[in-house]
Amino acid sequence: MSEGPGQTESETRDLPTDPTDNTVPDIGYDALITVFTILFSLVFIVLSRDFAGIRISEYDPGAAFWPRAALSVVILASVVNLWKIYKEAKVEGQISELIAVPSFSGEVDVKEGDKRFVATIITFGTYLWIIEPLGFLVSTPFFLVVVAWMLGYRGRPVRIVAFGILTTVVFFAVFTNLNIALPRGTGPFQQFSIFVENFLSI
Amino acid sequence: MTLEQLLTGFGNIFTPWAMGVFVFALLLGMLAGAIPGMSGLMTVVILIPVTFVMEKTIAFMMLSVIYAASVYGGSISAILFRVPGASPAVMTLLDGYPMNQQGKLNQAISTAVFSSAFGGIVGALILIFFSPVLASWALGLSSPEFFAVIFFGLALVSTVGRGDVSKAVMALGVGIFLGVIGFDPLASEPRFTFGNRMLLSGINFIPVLLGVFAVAEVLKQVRTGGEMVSSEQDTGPDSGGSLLSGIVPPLSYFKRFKRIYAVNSIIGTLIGILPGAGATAGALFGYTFGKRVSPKHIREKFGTGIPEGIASPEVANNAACSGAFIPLLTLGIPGSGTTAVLLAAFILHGIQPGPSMLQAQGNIVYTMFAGLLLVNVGVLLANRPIVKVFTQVRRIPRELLLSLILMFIVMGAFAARNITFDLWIMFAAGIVGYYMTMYNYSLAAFAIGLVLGPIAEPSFRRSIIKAQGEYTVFLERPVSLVLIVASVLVFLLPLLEETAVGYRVRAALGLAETEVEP
Repeated sequence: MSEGPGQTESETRDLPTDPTDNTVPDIGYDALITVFTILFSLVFIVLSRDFAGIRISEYDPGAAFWPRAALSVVILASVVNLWKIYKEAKVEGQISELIAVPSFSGEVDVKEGDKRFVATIITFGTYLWIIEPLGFLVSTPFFLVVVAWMLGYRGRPVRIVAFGILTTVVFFAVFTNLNIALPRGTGPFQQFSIFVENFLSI
Repeated sequence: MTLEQLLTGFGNIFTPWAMGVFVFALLLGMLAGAIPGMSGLMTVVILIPVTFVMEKTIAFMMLSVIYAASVYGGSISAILFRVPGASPAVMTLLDGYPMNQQGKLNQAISTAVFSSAFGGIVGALILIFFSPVLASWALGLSSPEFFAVIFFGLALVSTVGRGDVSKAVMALGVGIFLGVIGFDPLASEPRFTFGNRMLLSGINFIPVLLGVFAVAEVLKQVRTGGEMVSSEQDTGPDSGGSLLSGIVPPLSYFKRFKRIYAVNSIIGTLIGILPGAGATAGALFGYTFGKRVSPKHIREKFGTGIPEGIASPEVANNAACSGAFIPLLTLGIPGSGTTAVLLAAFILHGIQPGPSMLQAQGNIVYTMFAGLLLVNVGVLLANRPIVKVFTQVRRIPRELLLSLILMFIVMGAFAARNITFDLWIMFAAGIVGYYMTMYNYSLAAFAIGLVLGPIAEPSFRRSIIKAQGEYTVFLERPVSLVLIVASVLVFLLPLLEETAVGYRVRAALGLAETEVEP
């Protein structure tokens, strides 16, 4: 669902702005997020004790003042939000849904979009994980090919491989010549990146 | 005198060599803004060595033109892919991208171009004619006033998050909180870094914004099977045929945005003058002010894909870009990151910006001014070809486009600080942003907190220290008092409007009738 700060509450809750959107928010999860936010804020308020005494002068409110103020605002707004969720659930008769623990037992209908969603996150995470040791030049062609294929691109294999390699090399060359760094990798991959950088430098 | 010097400045640019440099700077600036990973700041840094072999007047004109053009360029990728090519475009994507998805890409880009040019020209004119006055005004502002201005920006959260203010305030608070991670701005002690040295210099807002806006959108498209660029596209707002079709929009266009243009060009310039604020803060203020000054029926559509949502930040960020030059040239204080680099370039060339610069280096300064005026004309002239080139993006198969966008996001997130840690920040922000969007937590409010929070804290603490612990300092100085009261009103107004009393008051004032959907 796209962000709609201008939309009314009921509009944004009930109607996903994208008609193909299959991710209609659940009021129970909304409450869960709010409770988590409160706990998160409380934990960090407690942790701010570590630097609460740090001041540059006797009149300085201290290093902990600003984060505590921000987190207090978050807690206050979260409590209001929780109350609003409760009120809405009461009107719509969803109180039981609000307090029910989500059940994961039984048959789960995993939609194609959900599978692609999870696969994209895993692939993207893997790409970020390998980009440090392998470098941008080596890891990006694989990433481009895998993501495009995973999302359903079924052109000729030569075409998709050429897309992955050429795109990477072109942008690597542009960024190299503009002196903008991209991950080089480590060990032999770093040497390979430097070799290609020297080769592509104008 | 000013006009004469300005004409001399134009004369310096209207030579074949200088014109060539101008066109190069315009195109490079736009490209730098449009491609995540590049930025106006980075391009200016890269080109500083080149300026040593150039005439100083042309060299500084080139650097200023790159900065101004990059602020506009950022809006292109924001509208096309929800990826802010440059941080000042962060608010443009809120309405620009939905317009693109509704098949109004031409109209969205044209609105961005015209609004950028308008904001840029007004900002440049203010810069040219009112620099000394504004500089002395800015010099009179101290920490309490500065904090009050930022506080006013934060208070606009209720306008941004209208419809679900509690969630918007939560998002704002979380944004402010993320901004405190790293070294304390006054005591330089680490906060919430948990021994991780990567966190010492804080969480850079560029990877976070790329994550919450761009990665989240890619994930949404992957899950829903939607398209980032609609295959059905309009022909733009100028299709009705104006005198200079494609260059100047129909007069009705200016009429539609008259309030936004009038308010945001001034607000943007004033925000640009504040040290450390720059074009990004200008865009944040511009979006919220634009929403505030729009009639209710339009205000409620902000964020759903309306031209006003593009015009508001684009006018303000380009005006702020010009405004940032005022303290740089007249006081030697940079108003933004890029003007800080320009300050370094001046010093490297043996020029010390300050009160006497307008007289002592008039030729350089007025050629820069002429460049800043011309760059907006250049952006207008380039509108038609830009729209033509960028609408070709829809020919790229969806699967390839999504993978390319992810690659651009990675390049942009890494280039901010050259550390892979930022990539993980971007990744986490992407997943969180996806769920924030799904549950209607305002990303705009989050961005406002993240960007303005770190600017607000030092001025708040300095104010208290200078006032020897008196928290009432903000209410004792006239400017800050007015701003604080205005902040409270601006925060409460949207909330009160929704109450029964608010409806009755509006009806009594005769406002209720004007708010009916046309």
